[in-house]
Amino acid sequence: MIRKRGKLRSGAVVAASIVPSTVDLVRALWRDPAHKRWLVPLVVFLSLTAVLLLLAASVEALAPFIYSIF
Amino acid sequence: MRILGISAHYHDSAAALVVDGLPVCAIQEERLSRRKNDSAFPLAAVEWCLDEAGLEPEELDAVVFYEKPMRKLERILVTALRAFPRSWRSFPQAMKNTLGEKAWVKGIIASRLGVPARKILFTEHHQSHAAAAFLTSPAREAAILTADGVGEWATLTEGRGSRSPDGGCAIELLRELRFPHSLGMFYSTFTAYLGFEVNEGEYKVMGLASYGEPRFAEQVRAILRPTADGALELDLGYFDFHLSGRRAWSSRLVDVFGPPRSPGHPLDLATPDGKRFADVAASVQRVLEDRLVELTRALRRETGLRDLCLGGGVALNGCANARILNESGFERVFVPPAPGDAGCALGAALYADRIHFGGRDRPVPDHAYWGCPVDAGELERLAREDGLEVELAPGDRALVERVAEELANGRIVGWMDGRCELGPRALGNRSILASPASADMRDRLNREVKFREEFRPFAPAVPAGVADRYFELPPGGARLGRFMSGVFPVRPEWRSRLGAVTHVDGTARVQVVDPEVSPRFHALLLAYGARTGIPVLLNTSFNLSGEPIVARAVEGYSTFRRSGIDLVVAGRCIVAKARASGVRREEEAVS
Amino acid sequence: MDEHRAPSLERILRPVHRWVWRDAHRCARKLLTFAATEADGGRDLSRAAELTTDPLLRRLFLRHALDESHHAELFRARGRTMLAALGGGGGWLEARWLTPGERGGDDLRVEDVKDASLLAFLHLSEKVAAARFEVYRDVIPDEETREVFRRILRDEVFHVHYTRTQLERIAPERHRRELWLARASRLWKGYLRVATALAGRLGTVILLAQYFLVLPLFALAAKRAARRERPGWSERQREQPTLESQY
Repeated sequence: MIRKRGKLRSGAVVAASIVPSTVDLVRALWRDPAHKRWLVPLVVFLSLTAVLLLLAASVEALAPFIYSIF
Repeated sequence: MRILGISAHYHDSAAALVVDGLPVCAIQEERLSRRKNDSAFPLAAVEWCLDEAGLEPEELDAVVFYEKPMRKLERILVTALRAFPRSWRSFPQAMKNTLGEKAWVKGIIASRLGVPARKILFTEHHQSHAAAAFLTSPAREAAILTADGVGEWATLTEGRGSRSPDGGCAIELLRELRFPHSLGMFYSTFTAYLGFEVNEGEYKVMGLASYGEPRFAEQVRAILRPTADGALELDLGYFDFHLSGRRAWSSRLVDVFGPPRSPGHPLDLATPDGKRFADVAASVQRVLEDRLVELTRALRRETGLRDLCLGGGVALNGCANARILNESGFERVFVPPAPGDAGCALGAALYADRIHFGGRDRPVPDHAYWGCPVDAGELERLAREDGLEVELAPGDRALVERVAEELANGRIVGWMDGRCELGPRALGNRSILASPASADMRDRLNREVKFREEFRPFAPAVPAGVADRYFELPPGGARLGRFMSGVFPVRPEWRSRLGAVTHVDGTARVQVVDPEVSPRFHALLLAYGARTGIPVLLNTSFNLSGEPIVARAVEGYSTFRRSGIDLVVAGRCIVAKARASGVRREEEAVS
Repeated sequence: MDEHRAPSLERILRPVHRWVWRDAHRCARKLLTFAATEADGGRDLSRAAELTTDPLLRRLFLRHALDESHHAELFRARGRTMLAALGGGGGWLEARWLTPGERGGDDLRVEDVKDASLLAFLHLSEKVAAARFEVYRDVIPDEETREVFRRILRDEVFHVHYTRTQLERIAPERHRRELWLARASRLWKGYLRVATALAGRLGTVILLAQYFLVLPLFALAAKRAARRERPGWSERQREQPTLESQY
């Protein structure tokens, strides 16, 4: 039986996974033989944007206000 | 080891469970959510798989996702950057989709299933396709070709798979073609150009192609051309799919092939425009086949292997598969029942088991029936509650004789048996069956049951032992026919007596039924043959237009009640519609 | 249809509806959109029939589903006939939000609701749709399309009626409460739709700002890297990332 979690809690777990996932991507880009290090700052920047997008999706009723605050 | 495979987020999400090296169950989310091509995280499918095996999520040893989300994010980002500034429209949407959810699969799996992050693994998209094709096949050693729209970066891969006597397995992908050069995107672009839905209407392009002449083949060849090293490249001047999210083709493509068809517009093959669309479809199909044949010939020369395993959505193209078998030099071609993304759930789980964890190879049962079983008691209860006459056959023999009689009398039967199929084809466990004899039956099915375009053919099912009598199957053809993966000619002398399943070009996408795998369906074919002289049945998926194939008895019953199906069968329970005519008036009175 | 007279808002909007339906291209495309909406509605109802444990409701939902499929076919056939007669091209504005089809923007997930709540929801949305269709029937200029709405409206009367009587049957004590809850739910969902649409727009603005302010330099780098790539096969690296890696 899969335990259902609230939207906020699920959102928090997903948001927490952003950091290790981004680290995974940054590490791969850094080591890539095709020289993709130039992409790293953009990836980090967009990962921060992802937190905002996730928050807005988790609390859809407050989504416009979350965007406005940022 | 208990390994759960998951595919999700693009189209056709699914879950599959492998326990101690063998699949236990696998099902597409759409079969349970009842939303066609459901791409959402397959929570219902996962839940059903775990329930079926009596497992809790924490008892899983690994959860394997079918692609690498970070590599995919990189591709989406780089593609947007390369198209700058033309990608300004698609960028916000792509980022909202990807960064807002899809990229963080690890977190999604952890939050939905409650499994620790360390147990979550990721195969490459085309590794999953390759594993689904090779590890489910009986081949000891085979060349592998996978082709689809796009995974992470790869759109087509070539490699080889092998099983060693000590039980070890290896899958080595040698090279790949990268986005935006893609056979799948090429075909999908023309699918959209012809006014059909992408990821759904590709069958229609294949069906339509038979009505046309490939008079645009040279122009299409210039668009999809070979490279010096034997790979392929698209002339990107004809495409916009990599630049904007609005339209897949560019104005250059319209200059060459004329205005596209609007999705709502009727497709009348008698008009010049209708003929032009059929000709475009024929040209695209011809070139796709030619290019695949060239690729597989080269692969055969290079590997020297006799078997080929095909994976990816492109492997659903039965006409191309048949030409590969005929012309590539491979003796056997294996296409799994679910070569598309749904099958990747199973492929990912098997890859993790055999390659990552080094599990001993075990032959995977060679069938497609991994979904939920049908409950005949449920059909009986529903029918009785609605005042329909229920017949319970005393045994299998009586059942098939009774149903064969109805089929021979021209009735349309909704047939549910055992567990539902994984993949897009109904292979006799969730099928609508009818007489294949005349084109009238095809028209009746289109009009009263399937409500679909007239140019789409229906498929025949035939017992393995006699398939060759009715269809021109090349050596290895019966294997392709096992999961309806090949299109072959109907023998000319039978075409007039197989009018409902013979396409306009004299071919059929035949299913060759193995008595070991589908004993009841096989017996039904023989019983029907004993009555009519031809043991062939029209077999189409048990669903209505826009709906997924039925999974449970209740969905079969509902489909039966809403369509022109005369008889529905689940297990040994038979329900006929004949006496249901008064129901509508009764309902109105009581409401 | 007199018992379901168009509410005042729909009557006030009548000139707007008249303008929307005046353009034949737009009219044809709207009919095709309506066809898709009706087909979706039919699928929802057949799902409801599959999920309910009440045999009478199951039969009624199935009947309703059949009606919706029939309506979809009527809309589709008329839309296609009009498009075929008109040829390609035509106006660009469909004004979908001004003249919604049946269910309008209502979002229905039949798995998540009980029979009584579903009936209350259906009753309200059928009632609103009937009123709306009545206005469309009156303002549409061509007789054949008007006839399509006329035929569909006859079924709508049955739908409005049976959803109410069945709601009273299965929830005799609380059918009024269910209706109020359904009204509140429609309002809340309406707000969510607006909020989500607004959030979507704000998100788009933020991402577009990023696109034009942050991306140009990276775009230069990406284009330079792309020029180095050769067409054809890419050899795969010998050392493939492990399954633990997301890259």
